Amino acid sequence: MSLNWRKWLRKARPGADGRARIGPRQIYILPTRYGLVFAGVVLLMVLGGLNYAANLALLLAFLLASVAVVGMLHTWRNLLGLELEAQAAPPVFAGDEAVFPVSLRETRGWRRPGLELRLEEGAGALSLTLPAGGGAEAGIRVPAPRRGRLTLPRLEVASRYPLGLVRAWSRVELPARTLVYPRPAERGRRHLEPGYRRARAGDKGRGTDDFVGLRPYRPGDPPSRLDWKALARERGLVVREFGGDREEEVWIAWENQHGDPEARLSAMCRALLEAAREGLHPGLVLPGRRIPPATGEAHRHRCLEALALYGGPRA
Amino acid sequence: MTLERHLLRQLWATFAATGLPLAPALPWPVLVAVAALYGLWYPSVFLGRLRLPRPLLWALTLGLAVLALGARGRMLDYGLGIQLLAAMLPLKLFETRTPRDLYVALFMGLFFVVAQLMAEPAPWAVAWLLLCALALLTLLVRLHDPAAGAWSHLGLTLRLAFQALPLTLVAFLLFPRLSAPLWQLGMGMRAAVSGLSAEMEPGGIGRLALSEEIAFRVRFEGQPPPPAERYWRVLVMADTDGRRWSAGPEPAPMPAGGGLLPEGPPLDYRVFLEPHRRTWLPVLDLPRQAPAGLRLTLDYQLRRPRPVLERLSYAVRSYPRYRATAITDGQRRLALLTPAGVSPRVRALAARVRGDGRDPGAAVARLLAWFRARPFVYTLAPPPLGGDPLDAFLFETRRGFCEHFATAFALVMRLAGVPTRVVTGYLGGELNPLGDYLIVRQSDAHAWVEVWLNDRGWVRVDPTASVAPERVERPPRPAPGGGEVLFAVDGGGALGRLGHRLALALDALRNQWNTWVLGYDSTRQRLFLRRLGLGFVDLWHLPLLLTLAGLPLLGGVAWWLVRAGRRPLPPEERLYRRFLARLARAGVRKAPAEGPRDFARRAARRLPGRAQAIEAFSRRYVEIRYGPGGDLEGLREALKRLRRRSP
Repeated sequence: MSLNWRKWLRKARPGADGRARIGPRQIYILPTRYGLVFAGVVLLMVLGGLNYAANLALLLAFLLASVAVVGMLHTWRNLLGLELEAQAAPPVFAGDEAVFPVSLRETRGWRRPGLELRLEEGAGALSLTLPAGGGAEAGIRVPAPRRGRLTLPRLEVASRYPLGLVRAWSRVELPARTLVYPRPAERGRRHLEPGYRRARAGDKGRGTDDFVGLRPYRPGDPPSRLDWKALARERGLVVREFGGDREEEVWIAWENQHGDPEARLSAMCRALLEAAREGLHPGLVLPGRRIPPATGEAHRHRCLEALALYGGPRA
Repeated sequence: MTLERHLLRQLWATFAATGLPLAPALPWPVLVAVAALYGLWYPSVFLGRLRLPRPLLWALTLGLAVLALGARGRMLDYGLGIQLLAAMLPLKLFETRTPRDLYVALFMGLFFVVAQLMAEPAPWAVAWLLLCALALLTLLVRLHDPAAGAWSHLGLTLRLAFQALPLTLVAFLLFPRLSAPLWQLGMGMRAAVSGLSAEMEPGGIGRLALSEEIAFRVRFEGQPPPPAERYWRVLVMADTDGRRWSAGPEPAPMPAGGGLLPEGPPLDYRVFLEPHRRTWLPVLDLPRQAPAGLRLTLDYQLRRPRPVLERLSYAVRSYPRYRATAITDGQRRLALLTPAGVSPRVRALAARVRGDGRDPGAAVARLLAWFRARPFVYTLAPPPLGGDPLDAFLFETRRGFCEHFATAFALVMRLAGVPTRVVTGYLGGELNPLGDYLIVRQSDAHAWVEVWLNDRGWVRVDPTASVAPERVERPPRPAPGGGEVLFAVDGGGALGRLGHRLALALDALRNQWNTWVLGYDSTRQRLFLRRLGLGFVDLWHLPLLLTLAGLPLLGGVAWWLVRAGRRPLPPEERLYRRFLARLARAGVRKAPAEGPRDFARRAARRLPGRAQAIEAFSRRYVEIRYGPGGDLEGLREALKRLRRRSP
């Protein structure tokens, strides 16, 4: 068991404007491996210089040590006053990676090369350079293993510039969240409860299946429905009208699935996606919740959200 | 992750530059091999045109190591390590690929620089080597900011060095120095030096007279003594076989009190001795007491327990007028020792000098008069003396340098029954008016004698002075033909004088460098602290003092970096921030996404009493900031109006 000492370290939190600003007391600095070797080299020089009363060797050793210490201040300054802001990531399916757009801003007026941005507990740092007064965008990839709400974990922004002898880092908490849909089941019989019904507009209504007739063009009609031949015969802009759609409503219901709740949700997710792809109008029946069939991106999202948050706290 | 090609090329150039000051001192096979390696790297690694098989590199490494081990360069033991480093650096270049390699190469390079600095090269080489060390650091900056241009890397490194400078100096001045080394490995790091030796043969000092090297420098508390009284005693030699004189083992220490009766005011001075790897120290005439850490022997030599490997300075109090009464039976016996096989001519001379044997002082005067009456010649190129050097010098060649006169005089005096010993040291020294100190060179080396007169103790006699009185005032200079000695006379025209003055000015600088950089030791440190009024600070409190002095310096650098280092805001922007701060105090805060116009409208609604002023200010601000420009004065006025209306 690892003691969670990190809990006690200070972190940069966003202010009222949603932006986290790295203050002087939120920056930690430790020597790198090379820094430790460098210290050893300088120590040897000092010992040799002292022993042989070789003042020039001492002078060099002290110069190197001082440059390293001043370099540490430069590393510290490289993070000081950085502003970070994160947006909500687009929703993803469980097992994929959510990509949070994080923007960094430089407001103090000096260039900041060699910034590394990564999740505090994750590999693969992004390398960034901010011009003086400028900014940069980075997509932080966060693995989303489980459905539900996903909050952007703590970020770590670090720098070894300019000498690589020390590493300064700062922990940043940004409030961005995203939604993780259940992972669609890979295979298995999907169970759709057909809900064939006449479209509310009826057979004579307007749709896309049967040709009904022609009418004059009105602005907004899709060009694919224009009767080009009629136009060629100089009969003006005429639109072909169709009708006879049946709303293919299907119900995707909790009680028709098998297995544990997660498997059921996965299966329902797959059914929902496929139904939507096939142009059906899926509706969702979850214990205690019912979403009537409909189409459209908003409806799809609403259904997926319901699946993602099922059983969790109402959000 | 591999390193960028141009970074490697910079490493290559820096390494080559680092080796430059060492090049003349390397044995030529090593030099050629190292130069060839640097030459090969460029086409083979950088351009990729030449493929060097790996076994060849291994063979080169081995060969260079053997070469460096086998070559007897001008450098001694520690030179070997430095040669190996010089050879390994270019080889390391072939093996440098990743950032880790770069760091290793960098540390090797820094060791190479420090190894060269240990040998205390000339100031120009020191400056060069420090620049090389900074150039090595530039590589790190480049590694961490590859996007920026080469000049910006150099600029940042120089800025780092500049900001580190105060801290460096404080550390250099305050870091506690050892008064004795911890270990004695690798003695004789510095190249062989010329100087007096423990034995004297005819011709030994004559060789030294050709060396313009500086033996030591002296700073007097008051007025320096006149040239004729600048006899710097170093070694006392009483043991002889007739040709060779030697100092023998170190004599017993002088008992307290010193057997020295001062007969005049003392002279206080400080000697800054160049390292000569011996234990003896020059001192003006006779001191009564040894400075702390040094020893005074029974024959008034000043000695140190261990060889002088570093620049040493010590303060002494000497008496130019004295009665030196310390003598033991052993010393008296040794001072009367004469070689076997003295020729009858010399015995006859000794008998004449001795007279009735009651007045040794008169005997000294008689021998000096005898020298003066004969055609003796003071020369740097005396003829060889053959089997009986004493007889040959006194009666045949009659040409010699100071050691010929001193040894011949000493032997005749001994034959005449007067205890006599030879003293070697330096006579004279040039006063540098720019630094107000005396420069004593190896060419000032001299030999004279001391005779024991029962009523006066040891008395200095310089037989050379009776033959060549000029020597007392001026150092000898070899004549171009190698014959007679010329004495340095102020002259050589205006240009020569100017050159001499320049040389003196350079030496004054060099003296400062020696004192404050090379020779800054625990004694100097004490002096420095005392001058700061910190004489009470203990050696082991120095780290604390160092921290106390260093932290504010670092704080200053941090402040500079954060405050003064930032780009100043344009004036209208500063005024606008004041405007925002004022409204914020009144309870209206600008949202980050809000433009100045929208904010002004909102603020005016919230603060109707000041609506006009707010609108006026914002209009002017927008004109200046985003429009064709406007007058700053008006903006300033508008801000003031805002204040006047505020309750």
